[in-house]
Amino acid sequence: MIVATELTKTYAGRPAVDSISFEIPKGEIVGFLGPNGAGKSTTLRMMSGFLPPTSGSISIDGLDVQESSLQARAKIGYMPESTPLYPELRVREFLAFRAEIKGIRGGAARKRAVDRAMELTQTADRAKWLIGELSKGYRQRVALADALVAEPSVLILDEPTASLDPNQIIEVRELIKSLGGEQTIVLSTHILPEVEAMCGRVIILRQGRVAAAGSLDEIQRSLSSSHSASLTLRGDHAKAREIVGEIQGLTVATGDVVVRDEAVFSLTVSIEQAEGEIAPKIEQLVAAMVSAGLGVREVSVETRSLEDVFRELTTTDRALEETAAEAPTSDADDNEKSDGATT
Amino acid sequence: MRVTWAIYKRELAAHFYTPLAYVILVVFLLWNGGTFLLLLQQFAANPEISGTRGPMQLLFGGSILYFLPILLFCPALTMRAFAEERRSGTFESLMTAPVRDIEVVLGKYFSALTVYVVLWAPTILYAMVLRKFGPIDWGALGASYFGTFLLGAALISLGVLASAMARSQVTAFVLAFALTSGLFLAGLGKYVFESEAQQAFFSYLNQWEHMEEFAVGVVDSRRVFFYVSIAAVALFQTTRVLQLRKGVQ
Ligand SMILES: Nc1ncnc2c1ncn2[C@@H]1O[C@H](COP(=O)(O)OP(=O)(O)OP(=O)(O)O)[C@@H](O)[C@H]1O
Ligand SMILES: [Mg+2]
Repeated sequence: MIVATELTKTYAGRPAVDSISFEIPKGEIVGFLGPNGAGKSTTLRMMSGFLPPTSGSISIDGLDVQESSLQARAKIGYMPESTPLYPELRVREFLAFRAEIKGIRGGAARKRAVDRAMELTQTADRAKWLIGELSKGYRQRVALADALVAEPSVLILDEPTASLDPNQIIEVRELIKSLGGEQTIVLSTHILPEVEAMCGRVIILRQGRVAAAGSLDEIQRSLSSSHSASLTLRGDHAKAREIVGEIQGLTVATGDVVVRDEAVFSLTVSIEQAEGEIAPKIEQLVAAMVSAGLGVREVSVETRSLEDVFRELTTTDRALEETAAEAPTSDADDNEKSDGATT
Repeated sequence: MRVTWAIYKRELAAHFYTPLAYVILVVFLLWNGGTFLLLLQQFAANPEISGTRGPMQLLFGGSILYFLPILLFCPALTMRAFAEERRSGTFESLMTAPVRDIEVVLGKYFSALTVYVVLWAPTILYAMVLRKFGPIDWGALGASYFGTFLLGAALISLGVLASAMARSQVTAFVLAFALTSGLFLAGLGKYVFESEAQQAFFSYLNQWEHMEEFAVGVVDSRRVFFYVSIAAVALFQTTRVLQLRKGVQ
């Protein structure tokens, strides 16, 4: 299980990741979705233990990745965004080297681990090639094999399908899906279909903050309404959800209630437009909260903010559809679903 | 140890993957060959100078011709170490593997030191050649090689430190050369300062004098301590620099 609390990273005073908190249960496949510069890589780097957070913390199975760095790293297979490899090594040599420094002892055990990783990532046909002579897509798959080689309990993959051809995208998605359940997998992507194809849960980042989190269904439901209100409340959050449910036309938009400290939390409520004016709804909601003894600390009404996020994301998605359309076998399933999301 | 060994092997292979190691090897051989030839000609022309020190003794530490290639090539052997990993981004995957900083540092250090030893190995041939013309003081020769090894062990550690601080190989080289030649020049302070305390201090640093001692077969434990402690401090500092470099591309 991965737990991040108020994770923040600032570069020269500018936050790249701004106080985000999340929990990822064991065995889940979770996608970080967001446009360029949203803070996905920064978050994954902090998760891998490479980048020390400016503040906040992140732990894997209770091990803080900074404090107990070595033990935490032993659980992780991390594939950085730039898929760094040593060009002068052959694929097999490279994977054997990585297996060795990751603690796989004995030549026979290493050979088995390397063979398995190459088979899973379909790189066995390039085993004897120099990495420097591989195409970009093969290099990406070798980097993925590196992340898998020691059978880590947590896989952190920064854009695992970034430079693959459409057929390989499907293969790698299938691979990642098949590894879920056993391994906890965290990945990042710009594109919605990627998340739909693999992830049970998604955390949408925008400008270093969590714009939405939950299962895709939950998020899509909240998208059908065009207004939402974010509330920061103090008190019992189960009670708050109950109140939202009682008011007609209001629903809790995201399943995730972010508990800030003891009793303060925030909640996003979506408001159905069919119900008429939204201002009275807000008044009604706040009055109900207050009379139930909840402290209302902040209320902000946002219009179409989640849709905006999705528009940014699905624009990128079109580019993929075009590429897929050019290739003989396109990921038809994905396109269908993403159409649903764009409309 | 396991990690150190794995990294040692990979680094050693990487040294010989780029042409640099071969260039250094050839230049170094030519240089030492030339120096040796010069010394032989000197001895042939003036047989009377062959008192206590034969050509073999003069080859080690007898002139700037001995120090110059060491001061230049140690930084060249180490400039890749961390600078290249940082440039290419492999630093990120290396440091996110379950490895201790010191294990990585030692693997890289010993691989550069191994290449340094390989550079010197062919000079044994000179001794083989000279043996035909007269007796060789094998004790003094052994001490010379030991001193040369110690000097390399210290300078290479400074090079590894410089490479961890730099982001490009060129910067790493320049920085390492500044460190190694700085240390060398500091020793020459002996010929500048006059008080007894200053003299004692600078002769402690004076690598030229140290090598002259080794060349005649004197192995002084203070010298061993001097070079070994430089290496220990520099390698420890390297691990500290690595801590700071994490997260910085
Ligand atoms: N080393 C750095 N120095 C300064 N700013 C940085 C650095 N790394 C990242 N940033 C900034 O942090 C923000 C988040 O970057 P990050 O790489 O996490 O985005 P991302 O979501 O992975 O984007 P992409 O989809 O382009 O990979 C960006 O605004 C970026 O400019
Ligand atoms: Mg990124």
